[in-house]
Amino acid sequence: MNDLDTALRSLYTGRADRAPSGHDLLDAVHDRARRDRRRRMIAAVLSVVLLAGAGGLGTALLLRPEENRTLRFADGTAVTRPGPAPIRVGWMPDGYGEQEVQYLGPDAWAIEVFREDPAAALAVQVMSHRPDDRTDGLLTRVGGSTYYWFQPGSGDTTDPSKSSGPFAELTYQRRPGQWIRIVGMSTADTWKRARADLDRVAASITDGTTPVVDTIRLALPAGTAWGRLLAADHHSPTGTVGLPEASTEALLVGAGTPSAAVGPYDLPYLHGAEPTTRLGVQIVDRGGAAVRNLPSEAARKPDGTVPPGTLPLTEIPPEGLLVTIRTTVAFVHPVEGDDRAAVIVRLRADDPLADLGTLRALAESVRLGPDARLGP
Amino acid sequence: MKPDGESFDSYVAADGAALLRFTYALTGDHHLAEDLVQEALVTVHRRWSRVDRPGAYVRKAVLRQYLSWRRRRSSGEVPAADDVRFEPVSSDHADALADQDALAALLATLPRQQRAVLFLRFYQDLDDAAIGELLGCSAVTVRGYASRGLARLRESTGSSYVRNGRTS
Repeated sequence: MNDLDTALRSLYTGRADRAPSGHDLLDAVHDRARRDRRRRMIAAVLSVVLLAGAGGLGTALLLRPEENRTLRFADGTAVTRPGPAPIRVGWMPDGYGEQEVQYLGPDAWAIEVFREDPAAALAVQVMSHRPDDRTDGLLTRVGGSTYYWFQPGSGDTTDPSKSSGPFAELTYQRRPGQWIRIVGMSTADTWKRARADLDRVAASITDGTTPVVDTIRLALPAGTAWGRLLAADHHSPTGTVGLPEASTEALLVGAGTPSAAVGPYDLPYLHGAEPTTRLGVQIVDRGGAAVRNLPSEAARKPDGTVPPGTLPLTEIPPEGLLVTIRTTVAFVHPVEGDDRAAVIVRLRADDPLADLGTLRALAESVRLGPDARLGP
Repeated sequence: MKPDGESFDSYVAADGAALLRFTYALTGDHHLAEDLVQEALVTVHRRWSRVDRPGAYVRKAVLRQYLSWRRRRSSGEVPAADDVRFEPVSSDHADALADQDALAALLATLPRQQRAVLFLRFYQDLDDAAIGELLGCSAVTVRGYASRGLARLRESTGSSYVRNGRTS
């Protein structure tokens, strides 16, 4: 055996001696398993809807477990967050958790609830434009309302991951300029019961406001508007500026981006569409992989390898750091008032906002709300 | 073999620490190691009644996840500095640690398949056939990964690891 062999053995043995203790491993696994069951239920129904409808998202939807650490509330009164949903929902079926409001784009929101066991999801989407009808399944028009019902065949009962539940929907215009679509995923096993729930939810909707999840607040750069803000454990496909999947993120669009209907694949927990993004704002752990790997992202060669000697970023300068990654730039900065969080802002390198002063002002304005979670 | 009636919870209590040692030795990254182990355990939890040898199953799942393209895209390639560092007690010890850091940094520049093969050969002492079975490739492929990985490490470190002229 030569010295390299010995050195490698010594390296691995040394690492093993410094491994995490795993004292909370079982709790973490059970927590992740619960989230996994919910995602798989929704993904299974979504895959059926995609097969039934026109087109699909292909590999754009990637499910990935994430860490889940609660951050303390920070005073965000000096900065903005998306406006509240313009409705209140007075009734949701029994057994579901608290209502969470996602901001899906200009003049579009989704008020969502989830049930763990059996897994189910229900969303009340409010938008300013009429959404498109689904092209398969059972469509029924009653007055000005459209009901949709899709009941897939039973899956492999020996593998719960392959089972899929019914999909029920009610779409109607509540008032001029306000359309409602109520989406039920595995909420009931018969059309009669599902429709009863949809009608009762619809009857409980009143004018009022329901605030959006409080994850990130920031001062919008000139010429931008809020594009999307989701609860921390929801997923969105990679945006146009290459924002990786994150636990807490906000997407900003150009000011004046027109409002539109919520897309057919923008569903509870797995949001399969988003407006054209101008900037992505991601909250991560200062010591986590997203920060450490910025130099390697910038240095990576076309064959996927990283030049020797490329060191990870171990400390973020207080004034932030700008990294160019092919056609985009990433600006990383500590989050004010939080000693664990960092913000990474990503945008196209040729965007006029890709200016150090502008990005620093944006990053310094970021405040985290009680619903924020650190990404890796 | 799984003892009759062994519960998932009792398996994790018994093997969890060893799994984390295995995975951290492979990756050198605390966050990644915990993430990989938790993901693999969630997978085995779903299939618990049908899994005969959970220890082997989970370790295989960890390796497959480590090598998957999705994880390469999202979690990065640079565990160059291992997370925990002891304070050196002597200059010799400090030199040894510095060498280990340098070797870890070089390892991080190798493609993950090569890293996984070297890990299984030099930490688990597995032969090429056993490594191939774990990684889903032939023994010939394993030898190729090992050969290229070691060659690259030697090129980068110079002659310090080849004093006696032998190769692995």
